[in-house]
Amino acid sequence: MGAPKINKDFFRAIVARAFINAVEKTVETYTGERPRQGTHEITYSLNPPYEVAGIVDFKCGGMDVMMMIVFDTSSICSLYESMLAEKVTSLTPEVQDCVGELANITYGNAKTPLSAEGYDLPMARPNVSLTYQERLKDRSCLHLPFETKTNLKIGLILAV
Amino acid sequence: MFDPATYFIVIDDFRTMRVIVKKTLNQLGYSNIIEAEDGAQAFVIMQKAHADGSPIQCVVSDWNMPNMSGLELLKKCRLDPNYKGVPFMLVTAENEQKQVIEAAKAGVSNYIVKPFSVTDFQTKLTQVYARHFKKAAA
Repeated sequence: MGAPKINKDFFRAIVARAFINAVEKTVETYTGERPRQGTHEITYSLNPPYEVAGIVDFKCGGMDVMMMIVFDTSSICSLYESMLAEKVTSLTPEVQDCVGELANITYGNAKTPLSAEGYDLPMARPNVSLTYQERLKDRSCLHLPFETKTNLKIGLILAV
Repeated sequence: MFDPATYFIVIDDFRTMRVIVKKTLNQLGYSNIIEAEDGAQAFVIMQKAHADGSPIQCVVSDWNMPNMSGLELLKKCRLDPNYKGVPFMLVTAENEQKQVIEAAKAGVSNYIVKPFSVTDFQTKLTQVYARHFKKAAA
């Protein structure tokens, strides 16, 4: 039996919540601070102001979904330093690896509650992109910005 | 708890998580830590370490990796007389019941869900030690 079919409203309510919780938990674990969620936006062909994305493609409820966790350079360098206690100032291969691992953790953490709802997401491997905006063209995108008190900015994008 | 001289192998295809686990082990007082990028590479390292007389005494492995996953490595170890009793902790971003059952059936010593704190890791490692060595001592 396949996963239950979902419409876009349900997608936003259930699937987005699982990913929001995953981002909040991950950032809180590594920074000691729960990020605040800003105002979400829903649009086609989103062109957000971030520089690097960790991306996971998956199927959920009959929909092809793309999850991105996106950062500007300053924020990911700051988060990297919190996680690894190593100072960095640019998007080095090590920092990009960190973006991939953060996408991996976010997806995995969201997968568990979605499985309990009957959405059996597959194991998936993330990839990292500096030109991720191209992949958002002509897709319906839900963008959820997060920010910490220490000015760390993170974006969660779910595109269908 | 494990002796500070214990030899660990930390396996993950992401350098980030390898470094986090390694630094966590360092904070807990361990310094004999070898890294591998996947299960296949880890098994070769384990064989060499065994042959050299300084065998790996605890495995901390990611689940989802290319070439050979953590679960595949666990099954391989449990079938090999040289490694069947080696403490083996899986690190995973997922916590689904079917996964937990699959890992338990394969003989995992414990598993930890990412993201984790040093305290979380220490608790899990203590449980691994108790499972493998306290029964033997009793």
